[in-house]
Amino acid sequence: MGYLAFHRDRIDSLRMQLIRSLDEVTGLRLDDPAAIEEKRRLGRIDSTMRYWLAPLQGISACVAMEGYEPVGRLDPNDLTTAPAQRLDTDGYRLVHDPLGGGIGDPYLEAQAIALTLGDGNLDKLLSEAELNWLNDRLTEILASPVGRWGFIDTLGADGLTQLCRKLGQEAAQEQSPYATDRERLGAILTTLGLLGAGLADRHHDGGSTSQDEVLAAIDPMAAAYMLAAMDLPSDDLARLAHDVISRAGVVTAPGGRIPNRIHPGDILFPHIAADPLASVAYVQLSIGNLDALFKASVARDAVGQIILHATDPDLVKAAGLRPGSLIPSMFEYLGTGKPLDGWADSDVAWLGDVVIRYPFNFTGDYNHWDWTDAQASTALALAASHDAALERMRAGAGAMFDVVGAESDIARLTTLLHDIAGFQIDLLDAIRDGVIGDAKAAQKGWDLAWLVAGLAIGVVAGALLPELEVGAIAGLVVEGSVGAGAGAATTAVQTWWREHHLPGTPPDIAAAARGASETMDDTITAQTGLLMRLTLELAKSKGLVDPQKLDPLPVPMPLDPQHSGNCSGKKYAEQVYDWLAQGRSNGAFKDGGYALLATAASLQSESAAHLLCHDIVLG
Amino acid sequence: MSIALPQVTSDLARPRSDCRTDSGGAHLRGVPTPTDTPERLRQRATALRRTASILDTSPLRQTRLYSGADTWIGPSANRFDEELRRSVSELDGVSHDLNSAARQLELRAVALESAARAASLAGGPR
Repeated sequence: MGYLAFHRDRIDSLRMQLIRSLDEVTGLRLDDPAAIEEKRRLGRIDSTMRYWLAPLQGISACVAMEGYEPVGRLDPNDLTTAPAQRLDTDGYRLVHDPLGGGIGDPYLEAQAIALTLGDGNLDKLLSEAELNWLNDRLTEILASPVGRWGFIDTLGADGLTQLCRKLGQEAAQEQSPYATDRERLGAILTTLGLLGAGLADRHHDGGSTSQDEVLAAIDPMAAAYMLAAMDLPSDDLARLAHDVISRAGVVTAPGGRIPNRIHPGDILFPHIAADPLASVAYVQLSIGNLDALFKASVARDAVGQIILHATDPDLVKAAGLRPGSLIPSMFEYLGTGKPLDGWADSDVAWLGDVVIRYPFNFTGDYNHWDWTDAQASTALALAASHDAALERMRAGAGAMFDVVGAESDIARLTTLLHDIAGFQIDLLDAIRDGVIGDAKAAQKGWDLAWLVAGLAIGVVAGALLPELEVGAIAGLVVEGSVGAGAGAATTAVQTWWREHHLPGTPPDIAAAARGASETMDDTITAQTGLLMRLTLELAKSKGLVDPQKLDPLPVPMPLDPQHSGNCSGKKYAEQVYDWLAQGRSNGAFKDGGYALLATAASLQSESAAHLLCHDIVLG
Repeated sequence: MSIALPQVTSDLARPRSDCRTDSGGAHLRGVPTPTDTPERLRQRATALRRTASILDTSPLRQTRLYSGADTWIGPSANRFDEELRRSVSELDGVSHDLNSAARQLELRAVALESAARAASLAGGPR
């Protein structure tokens, strides 16, 4: 509905002035052939403005003419008449405006509505029709800076709080399972969203009404709906959301039961998840009490996305934090009280992503974070105990090849191999400890171990032959684990072996791949054999060993297709360690050569060999 | 001759006038009629400039002083002010284009005189 306020005598003056103007235009003689178009344009001007003569006459006469119907008595308890009442007090005469659109002045209209809402009895002003009207007008008013100024500043923090509190209380009632008026609830939530967006935009414009003050004073659910509509900087979104969600408390009952009422976290987490830096900030704020993340919502997709952002090295650095710094506390929380009970396996796939981003920080022997070796290993075991997480680790393992570049410095290469072997061993320990429960899940664990071994081989080969890329070599080796690619991988490796004049028989990747389907023991053993041969060649090329003082490098036993329990891995590990010890006593190693070769050999640790030999047989 | 104006309609829902400047008809600028002489062309130019001058001081430009919040407030008032603003802007455009057309006619007059002078020189003393 629109209103038009006017002063009658001034309308008359306007009309007379318009008549004079148009008379002059129409009195012009313009018949030159060079001005045909100008004549047409003057005609259009005349037509446009002459149209207004009749409405002006109708308005001035204050009769029901041209759609400008006189306005009758205004009901002070009808919110929709607030703008008209505002004009009615300033000596104007009032008619309905057939063009609609309020009173055409966003500031005056905003001020009028705000004054009525601020002073009036809200119980009488917010019928469903009035709410719908209010939403319609606020959509237009709050879209303009002057409208926001008129509405937010006139209502002030107190008035806005009072209004939002009232709406929030009613929304809470309407959200109960017994409420039936869904349309009214929808209208209320729309109003809250509009008010939230308007408040944030006004704050951005330079308004002084405090977002924090208003949100803190109202029901958390109402605050959540307002906050979800606000266009805020990441830090503000995280901070305000954390305040609101913390006030609301936890949502899930023990065992992960989903409640029948919606929670602020359900509203806000998708918004936080859509803002990477807000995600980092939210987890940082929640790190002391992660219930605010894990028990505040059933929107578990959003929770997972927030965690992925909060563990992203680049995002964390952008937030001024050390990469991965939030992870130890998170795993410590997850390891106590079983907060993930009741979560579907697919809901925690992100655990695998987190691990694979920082694989070496999860090994017992190596990490840069503030946690103990035991905590790190426990965290890895927790991740590996979830099938979906393990799948993510396997799927993401290839990314490690990109992270680990070529390393020619022997000391650093040794450290890198140490890290890789440590990750491998911890994975195998997780299998041994039974956290990977079933054979299918265990297969993923084996696959991942196979990928990691491929990485070790790639690193050493890359150091031996700088012209090759680590990732390419690792990928070549890993390809051997995928049946059909095994033959090609074998051919490629054997060709490479001969081209570089390496001694002995080139390794048979295809055979190793066949073995992988039978027993991981053979697979790891074949990989370790390849790794040792490459590492020895590297050590020779760097002058780290004296070949004359070394016995021949042990060769793994042929693969055993029947898996008859010949324990090739265990035997090979023992042979390699004997070989290393003999070489050391012969003085065959110098300048880190022993450390390099011993570290490479640790890929086939004695304990892992024992485990693989006796405990696990894949079906 | 007077301008023939379109009929005014009272239909409030009619489309708003599109007052954008239209450059159509520019191909007719300065086209001489068969009887045009330099003197006639200059007369036409003078008439066009006179019309432009009248438009520059049109009372329509003062009309906005009679409108505004002191007179009326509402969607119709906003629409009126907007259409008045566009009309005055269009008036400026018409005035400018009339002056341009006059200039074209004057240039044409100069060209005709130059051509006549050249012809006269070519047919001079033998």
